Amino acid sequence: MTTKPAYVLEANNITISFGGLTAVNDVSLQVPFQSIISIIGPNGAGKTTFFNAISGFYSCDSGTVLFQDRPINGIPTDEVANLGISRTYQNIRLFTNMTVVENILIGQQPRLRSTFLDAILQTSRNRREEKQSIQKASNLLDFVGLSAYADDMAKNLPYGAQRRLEIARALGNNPHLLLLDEPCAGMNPQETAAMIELIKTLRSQLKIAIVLIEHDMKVVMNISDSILVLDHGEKIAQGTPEEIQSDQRVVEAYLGSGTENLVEKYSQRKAANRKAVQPHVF
Amino acid sequence: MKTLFSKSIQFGIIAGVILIFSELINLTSTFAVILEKLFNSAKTGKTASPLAIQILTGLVVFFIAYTFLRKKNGSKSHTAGQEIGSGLLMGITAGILISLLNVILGTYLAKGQDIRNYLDAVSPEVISTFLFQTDIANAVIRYFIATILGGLAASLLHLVSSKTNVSGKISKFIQKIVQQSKIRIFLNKYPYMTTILTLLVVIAVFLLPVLVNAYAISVLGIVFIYAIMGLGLNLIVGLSGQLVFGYVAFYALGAYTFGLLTAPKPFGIEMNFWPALIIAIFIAAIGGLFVGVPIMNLRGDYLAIVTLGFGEIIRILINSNLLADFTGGPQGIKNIGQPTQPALTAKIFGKPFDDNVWFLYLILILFLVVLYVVFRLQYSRTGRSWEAMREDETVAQACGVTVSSYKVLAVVIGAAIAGLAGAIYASRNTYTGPGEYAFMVSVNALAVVVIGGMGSIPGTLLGAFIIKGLPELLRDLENYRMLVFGALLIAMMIIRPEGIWPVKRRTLSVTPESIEVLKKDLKP
Amino acid sequence: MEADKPQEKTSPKPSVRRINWLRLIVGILTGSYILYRIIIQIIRPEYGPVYWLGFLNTGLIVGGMYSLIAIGYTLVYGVMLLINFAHGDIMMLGCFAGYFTFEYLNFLKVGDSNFLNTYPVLAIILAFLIGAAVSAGSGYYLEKIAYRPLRNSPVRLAPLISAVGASIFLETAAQIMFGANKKTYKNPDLLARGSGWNIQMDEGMIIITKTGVFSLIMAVILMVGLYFFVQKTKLGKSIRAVSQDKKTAQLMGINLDQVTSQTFIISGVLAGAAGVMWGIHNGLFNHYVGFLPGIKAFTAAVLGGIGNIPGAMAGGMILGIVESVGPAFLGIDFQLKDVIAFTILILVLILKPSGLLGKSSANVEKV
Repeated sequence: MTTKPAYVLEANNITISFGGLTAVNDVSLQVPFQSIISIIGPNGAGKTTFFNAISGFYSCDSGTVLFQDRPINGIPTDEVANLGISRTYQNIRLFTNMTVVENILIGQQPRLRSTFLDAILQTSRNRREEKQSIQKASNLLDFVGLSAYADDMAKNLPYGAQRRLEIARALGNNPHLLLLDEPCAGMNPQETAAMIELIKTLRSQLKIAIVLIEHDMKVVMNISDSILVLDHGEKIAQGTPEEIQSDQRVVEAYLGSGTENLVEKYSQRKAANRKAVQPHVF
Repeated sequence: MKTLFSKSIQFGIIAGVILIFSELINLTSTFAVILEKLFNSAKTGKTASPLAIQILTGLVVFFIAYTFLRKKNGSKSHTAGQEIGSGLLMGITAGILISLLNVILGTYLAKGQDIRNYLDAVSPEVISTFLFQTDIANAVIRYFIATILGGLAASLLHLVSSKTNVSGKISKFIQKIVQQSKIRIFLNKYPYMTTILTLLVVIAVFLLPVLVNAYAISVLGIVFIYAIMGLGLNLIVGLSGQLVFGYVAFYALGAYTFGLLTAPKPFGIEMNFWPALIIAIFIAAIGGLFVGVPIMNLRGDYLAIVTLGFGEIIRILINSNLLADFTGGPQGIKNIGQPTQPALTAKIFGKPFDDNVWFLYLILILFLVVLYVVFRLQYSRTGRSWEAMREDETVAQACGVTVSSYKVLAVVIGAAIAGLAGAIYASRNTYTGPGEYAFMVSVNALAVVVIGGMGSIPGTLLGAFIIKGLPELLRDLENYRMLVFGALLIAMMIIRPEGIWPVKRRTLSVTPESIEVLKKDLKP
Repeated sequence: MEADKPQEKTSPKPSVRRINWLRLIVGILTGSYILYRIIIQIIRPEYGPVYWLGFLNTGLIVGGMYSLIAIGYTLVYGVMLLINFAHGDIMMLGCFAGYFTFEYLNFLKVGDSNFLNTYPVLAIILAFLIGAAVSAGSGYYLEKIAYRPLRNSPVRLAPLISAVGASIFLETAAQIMFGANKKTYKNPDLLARGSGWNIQMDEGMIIITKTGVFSLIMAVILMVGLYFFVQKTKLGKSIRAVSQDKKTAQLMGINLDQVTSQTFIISGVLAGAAGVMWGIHNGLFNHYVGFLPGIKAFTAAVLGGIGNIPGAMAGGMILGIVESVGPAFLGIDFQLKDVIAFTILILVLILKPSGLLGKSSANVEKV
C-alpha cells in the first residue's frame, strides 16, 4: 500500500430494507483515523442495523462500505473481523461457559495461524503462538482492568466487567476500527466515567478509530469528535457535539414538536408500514 | 387446603402410575429379586418374595410423597394433621390404582386366560408373584398396607425433619465433611500429586489385562472401544455443539473397510493390520466430510437428522442385495484379520501374551493415542474455536472463527475416530455384520458422552464404564438397559446437564506486561 | 432485541459464495442423472403406465401419513425450535391404542356378532378417537416432563438430547410391555385389508384398496381441518405468533406454556391419527413402527420448509410419491426405498435448505 487512505471506514449511501420496511435509508459516514464518532437517535432509528451492515451481518441493498479503500459489503463476518473491524453487542454476547482469558483468545482468532495438525503434533509454531496469545490476552485484561477475573467463567462476571470483557475480546484481533454498541448501557455514573476513560485511552494509546452507539448524552458529548444522528433510518444531522446540541431537527427527533404532530407522525408511519410489510405466510 | 387435597391426589396418581408401569414391564419383581440377592446371597430362583415387593411398593410411594411434601412446604406450612392426611391420601390413591391393576390381572389369571398376547411381560407366574401367591382380596389388602405405610412414613419423616430440622443439619454436616476432605484442596497444595496419581492410574490400567480373568478382559475391551468412540463423539457433541445421531455410520464404515481389506473373502486382499487400520480411518473421515459439507451452513439440529439418515443409509446398504457381493449382505464378513503380536513382547516378558490380553493392550495403546490427540485438540486454538461455536455461533463467526469449516473439521475428526473404533471392534471379533450397526450403538455412544459430561475427557471415560461396564455387572436388568438409558438422558439433562464429571476450565492467565508491549502488539 | 429468532433459513451472509459451487455441482449432477433416467424410461420402458399409476397410488397413501406426522414436527419446531425426536414414538403409541381398541371391540359381544363388525363405523371412529387421545396425552406429558424444564437450559443441545432419551424410553417401554413380536391390526370387515376395487387397464390392473382410500381421505380431511384451525382459531393464531417471535408474543399476553402444551396436543392428535391409519392400512406393526416414519416425516418437513404447515403437507405427499416411484424410476432394488428418502434429505439441505415452500428471505439473527 503506497498511499495511506484518507478514512478508516467510508460508508456511502447505505440503504437496507427488510421486506419493504426501510431500516437505513441513504446514510453515509466517514470515519477518519483515530477518531471517535457517535451515532445517536431514538429507538428504532436504525443505528444497530447500520452497525450490522458494516460488520457484515447484513448486506446492504445499495451503497458501498469501504474499509481502508477496500469494498467490504457482502463479505461474511469472519472475513470482516479478519480485516480488522471488531465490535461489541448491545445485549452482551460473551462465550459464557468459557473463562475470561479464553474469551479473549477467541477474539485473537484472525491473528493466529496454527492449525489442528499443529495442535496434534504440538509443533513449535503452535507452542509459540499459544504462549504469545495467552500473554497478549493477559495484557489486554490488564489494560481493561480485569486481571482479577482472568480465570473466572465469563458468566460469573459483574455486568460492568462483562462490557469491558467484550471490548477486550474485540481488541484481540488488532482492530483498526472498533464498533461499540451502547457500551455504557445500564451502567451507574462511576462505571460510565470509567468506561469513558477506557474509550479515550483506546484512542490515545492504541490509536484505534472508534464508532459507538450510545443513548447517554453525557458520554456522547464528552468523547465524540463527531456525531451522526439517525431518525427513522435517515441521517438528519452530523457534526461536532456543539453543532448537534443546537440543531433544531435533532431536538425535534428526540422530543417531538408537539403532541398532535407525534400522533400524526405515528399514524402516518403505521399506514406506511402496513402497506410495506407483507403478511407472513405461515 | 383444597389445593393440598387435590395436589395430594395428583401425586398419589403419579405414584400409582409409576407402580402400574413398573408392574406391567415386570420391573418391580426383577428389582426385588436383585435386592434380595444383595441382602441374602443364599437366595436363588427368580421369584420375588412378597415382602420385597411390598417394601418396594412402599418405597416408591414414600419417595414420591416425600418429594411432594418437601416441595409443597416451601411456600406454606401445614399443620401436623394436614400433613398426615396428605400422606394418607397419597397412599390410598396409589393403593387404589395398583390394586385396581392387580384385581384386573388377578381376574384374568383366575379365568385362566393368558394375556401375554397383549402384555408381553405379564406371564401368569408374574401375576401370581404380584398377587403374593394369595388371592386377590388378600393382595389388595397388602398393597394398601404398603402404600399407606409409605405415605404415612413420608409425612412423619417430613414432620419430624421440619420440626427439628434434622435433614438440614444432616446435609450441612455432610457438606462440611465433604469440604474438609476435599481432595482438590490437597491436590492444589501439591500439584505434582496430580501427576503421580495420573501415572498410578495409567500403570494400574496397564496392569489390568494380565491381572483379570477372560470375562473381565472382554468387558474391558468393549468399554475402551466405547471410550474411544465417546472421545470422538465428544469432539462433535461436547465441543463443537452439534448433535450426531448416526454416529454408528462412521463406526460401520471403519469396520467394513477394515474387514474388506483384511478378510480372505470377498476380495482376498488380506492386508496387514496397520495399513488397513489407517485406510479404515481415512474412509470414515471421508464419510464425515460427505455428511459434514452439506450442513455446514445450517443449524446444528439438522446434523442430527442428516447423520441419522446417513446411518440408516449405511445400514440398509450393507444389508442390501445391491452390495451383497461386497459386504456379504446379512452374513457379514468373516475371518477379519488381527494384528500379530510383535516378537518383542515374548522377548521381554518371557512368553507371548494370550491373544485376548495382547488385543486389550492394543486397544489400550490406541485409546491412549486417541486420548492424546483429543486432549491436544481440546486445549488448542481449534478446541477453543469449537467451544466458542457451541456457546454462540453468530458471535464466534463475528470474532473471526470460520464456523463452517470448523464444523466440518469436527465431524471429520470425530468420524475418523469412530472409524478407528469400528476397525478395532471388527478386528477383535474377527467378524462384522449388519446387525451390529443398529441405531442403538449411536445411542450408547451418545449416552457415554452425555452422562460422563459433555466436553469432558475424563467424563467420557467414566461414561464408558457406566454405560458399557455397569450393565455387565447387573445382568438381571439387561432387558431394561435401554429403558434406563433413555430415562437417564432425560434426567441428566434436567438435573445435571454438565454431566457427572464436568469439564474443568484450565487456569491460563499469566502476569501481564506493560502497556507498551500491548501498544506494539496491537499495531495492526 | 429479539435474539432467538429462527435462524434456520439462511445463516447470515457468510460463505454464501463458498457453498455456491457445491450447490451448483450437486445440482447439475442430480439434474443430469434424473434427466438420464427419464430418457432411459422413455426409450426403454421397464414398466407400463399401469405400474406407474400403482406406485402413485401407494405413494399418495403413505404420503398422507407422512404429511400428518410432518405437520407435528413443523408445529413443534415452529413453537420451540426443537426437533421433537420422540414424535415417531408418539405415533407408535397411537398405533397401539387403536390396536387395543379394535381388539377390545372384537371381543365385545353384541347379539350374535361382535361390536367391531356390527357397528364398524362407530368402531373406527372410536379407534381414531382413542388413538388420537392417547397420542395427544403422551405428547402433552412428554412436553411437560422432558422439554419444559429445559426451555432455558444453558446447554443448547439439552432439549434435543432429552428428546432422544424420550424416544428410546418410549420405544423400549413399549417393547417390554407389549412384546417385540409383530402384531396384526384387526380391521372391521368393512375395511378388510386387501379388499378394494380392481381397475382393469390394457396391460394389467390397479388395485385400489379400501384402507388406502380411507387413509387418504382421512388424512386430507385432517389436514384441511388443521389448516383452518391454525388460520382461524385463537389458538392457531397464538401458535403462529409464537413461532414468529416468542418474546413479542409473550408481551402481547400469549401464555407460552399453554401454547406449547396445546401445540403438543395438536401434533399428538395428528400423529395418533396417522398411527391408527398406519395400522389399519399396513396391518403389521410393533414397537418399532414409529422410527422410520418419524425420520421420514422429518425429511418431509424439511423438504417442504420446516416451520411451514402447507410445506409439511406438500413435503409428505411428495416424499411418499417419490419414495414409491423412485426405485422403479431409478431402476434399483425396492429394498433401497428408504435410502431414497434420506438421500432426498441430504440433497434438499444442499440445494435448497429453506425447503420447497420455505421463505429464503434474510431471516438473519439480530445482534
